[in-house]
Amino acid sequence: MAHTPPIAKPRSPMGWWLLATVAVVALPHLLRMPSLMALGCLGLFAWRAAHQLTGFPLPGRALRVVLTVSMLALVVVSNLTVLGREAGAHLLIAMLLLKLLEVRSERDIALVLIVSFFATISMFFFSQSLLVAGQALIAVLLLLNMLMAVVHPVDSWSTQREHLRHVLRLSLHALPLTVLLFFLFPRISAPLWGLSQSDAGHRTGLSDTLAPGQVSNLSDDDSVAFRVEFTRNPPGENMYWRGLVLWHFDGNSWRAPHQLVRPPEVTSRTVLEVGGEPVDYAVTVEPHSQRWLFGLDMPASTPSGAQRTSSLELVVEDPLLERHRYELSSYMRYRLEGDTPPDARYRELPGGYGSRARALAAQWRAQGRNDAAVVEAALAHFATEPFFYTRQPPLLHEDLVDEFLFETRRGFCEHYAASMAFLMRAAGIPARVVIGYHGGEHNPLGDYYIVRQSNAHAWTEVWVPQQGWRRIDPTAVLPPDRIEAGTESVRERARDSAGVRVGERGWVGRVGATLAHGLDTLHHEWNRWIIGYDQRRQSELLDNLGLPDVDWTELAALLGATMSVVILLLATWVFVRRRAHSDAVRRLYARFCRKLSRKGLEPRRFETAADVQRRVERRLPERAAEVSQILGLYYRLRYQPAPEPGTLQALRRAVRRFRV
Amino acid sequence: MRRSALDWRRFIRGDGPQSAPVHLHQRRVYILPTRRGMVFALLLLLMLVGSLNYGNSLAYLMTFFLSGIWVVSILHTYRNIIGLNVSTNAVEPVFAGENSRLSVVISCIDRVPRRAVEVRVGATTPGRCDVDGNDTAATTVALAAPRRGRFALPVFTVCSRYPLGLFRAWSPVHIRGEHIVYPTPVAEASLPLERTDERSGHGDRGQGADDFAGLRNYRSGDSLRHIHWKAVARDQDLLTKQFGGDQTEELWLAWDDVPEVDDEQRLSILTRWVLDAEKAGVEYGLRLPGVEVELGRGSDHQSRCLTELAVFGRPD
Repeated sequence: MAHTPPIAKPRSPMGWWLLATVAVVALPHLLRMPSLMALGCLGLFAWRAAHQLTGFPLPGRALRVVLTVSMLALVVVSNLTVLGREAGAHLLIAMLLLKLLEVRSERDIALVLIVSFFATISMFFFSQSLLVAGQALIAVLLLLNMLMAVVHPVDSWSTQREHLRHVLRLSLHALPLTVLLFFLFPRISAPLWGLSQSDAGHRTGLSDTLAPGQVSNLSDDDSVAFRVEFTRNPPGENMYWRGLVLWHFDGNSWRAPHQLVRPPEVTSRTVLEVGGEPVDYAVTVEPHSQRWLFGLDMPASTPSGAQRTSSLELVVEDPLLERHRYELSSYMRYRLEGDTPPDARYRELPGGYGSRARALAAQWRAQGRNDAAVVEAALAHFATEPFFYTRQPPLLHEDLVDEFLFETRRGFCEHYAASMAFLMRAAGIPARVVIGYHGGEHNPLGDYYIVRQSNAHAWTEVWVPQQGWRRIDPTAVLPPDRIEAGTESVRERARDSAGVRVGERGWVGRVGATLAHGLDTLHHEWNRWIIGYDQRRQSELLDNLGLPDVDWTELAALLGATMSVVILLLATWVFVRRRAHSDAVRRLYARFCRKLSRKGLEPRRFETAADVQRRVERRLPERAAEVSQILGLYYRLRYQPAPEPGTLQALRRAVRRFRV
Repeated sequence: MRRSALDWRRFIRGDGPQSAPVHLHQRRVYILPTRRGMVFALLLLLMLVGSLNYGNSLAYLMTFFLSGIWVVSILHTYRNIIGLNVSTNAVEPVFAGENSRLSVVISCIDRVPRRAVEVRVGATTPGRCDVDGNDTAATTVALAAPRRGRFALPVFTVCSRYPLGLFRAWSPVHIRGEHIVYPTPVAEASLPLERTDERSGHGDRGQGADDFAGLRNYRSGDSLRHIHWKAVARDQDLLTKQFGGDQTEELWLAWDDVPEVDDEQRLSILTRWVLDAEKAGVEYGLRLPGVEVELGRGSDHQSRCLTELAVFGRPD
């Protein structure tokens, strides 16, 4: 005796809601499917829609088997397998739509809804953008609404509205638990089994080779590279963190061959003259499996256990596999080897590359400029010519330098630093590329700076007579409107430097820019706080909350405790809001009745006080006097036109004291 | 003696029958996950494992949100049942083999609207209703009545799976009351023709020369003057009055007159007689061993007779 639920009947409003829900769930998957597969799924959906619209009969068992087999075949044809992410998702959607065609009982609908939940979450393994998140939220709300409709059939629009309101209320109540679980649930870093995501991620930070694209890969990585606590004279701006100096260009990448293999040169040969106040600080660097440390330009001291090279890099013996803390002091004003012309290797250029760049450099020289003037000319060239800063530049094929400088003119810091160094060497000025980090985010809670992998940067150093090695950052002179949105660190650089600034644009442009920035900030923050939340970020958060070095058992205990508190609060909220009687007297009387009901003595319908009294005297004689008093007070309050002032308090006291 | 909450006998047996209205307070309402709730929890576990493995933030977020929903729906489902007042209306008697209809009245004394509240007894179709805040609603549920007799109202369950069907909150309700099941009447049994030997003193009621002796089904050819028109006016079959001797219009339905040996069969025949007598509009009385119902007419009288037949021989 199968009872056909209202959903299964054609033309029913619940049927439409079911179709709409499944449509929202399946849509993002359909958009990613190959056309044949998508067509098959659409066909199944259309069949159900036809049934809903006109009562077109649904397939019988034999036909359903045929359909199942054909969908399976479609999946195999589209994916050449049934294993893996893509095929799995296609299979899921196909099964969902097939099940939709045989919805007959309440249990069938519940199964469709459960599978839909799976389908929704499976979308996240392909994309975690804001759009997908929004679609998933709507899908989940619709699915909850459907679950409710199965339990309580909807017969009118007002009932439907009530259901939707209730779903929202459920979601609101569930939010605190969600937030708690999301932030405090212990995150593990390694996958449980071998099927990790395709992108490995750059957990090792910088490498010792500047190949195109290296630094930009890190720009989306918000994991912390190191933290800095300043003890004296924090600079606040212009914080360039020196990592590695690269001096050899082979036409493809900049490297420092033999630099770290042969023993570092004795520091006494490097002359560093400093001025102004020293900046004292302590750096806590995250393990990055390399052998160098980071110091603010220019480090004047050497941390214990490390050695300073002639290029003022800081190297250690063994690759860093653990978090390491060291102390340094640096000077922001310095003159590095001002009197000693540097080694010839800083002027070498590979043959056969960058002919136009060499011509440009020669042109500047020919205008009779000295070294410093050539440097300025180069910077002005970058500032005034249409160069753009972007993280998705066009690929360079043959001649990296010429293509970038004269054709594409779009790139990120590596392009600029590398081409700047090339131009300088072409003009006969010693130059080298430095890779490291720039800037940092101040954490006011702990009063330290956070430098992330996204702060990775590359810049140039040129040697000018008398001035020594000078830091030149070509990206800092780029005007703001040529910097792609989302690259805050670049804008910071532009602010820091005293470079050329483009004139103000109109207010429309400004509004547009603000909106773009707002959207980008939203996207950026979304990536940082939600998508990018992982084990490292969790430890950071716990550090900020004052709980360093918490292992997962303690974290689980903390989570359990906070969740219990929240659930208790929720329960109080949910049950206390039941109270209806704004009338104090009715409330007190209801409480009195509740207490009596524990012994089955509550006043029944049409019973008078005398009847209640009699029953109490029989069953609970020791309470008879109290009951009589309470009833007397209640009736006085209820029926006397002007009861005495203290009666309500007396009733309240008596009811509170009354114990069954 | 104070009944403690840990009285295990009460836990197993439940409280005895209560008088209406029964208030569903916290100690009476239970809640457990439904099968769908368990499947949902399994789904969440799988989602968690997937999120853990891939470290996918949005997957975590959705898993945790649905876990929050799962927990919160415990509170909402519990709130859907707690605090209701349950009572019953009197149950109309039925004949054995039919189903009694138990009308349950549910009233909500706070302002929380209750949805999809079900009343279940045994395996019959449950009754469903919605109760608005500060309002009352009623629903009926079928009670199986296979045997005759007077029965106490069974324990029924007021339960609900609203809002999401993941949990089921229920409260067993035992209300003091009874319902009566009359014996199944046989399909047909001709009424006994009662002849009183002694002069009853009522004499001829002025119908005809002879005294009324009883009724029989109309046969074509009977005089129209002898038709019992009162019955026809009541939309019943055509019956012809029989006359003969010093008869009165009184009909005694007696145990001894039943041409059967089996007790239950006797009762079934007597039941049919009572129904027919009432239909004929005759004054009738019931004589059973140890029980006598004096002559009378009308639905109350019929109920009384049928009740006596229902409870005959049953000590309860």
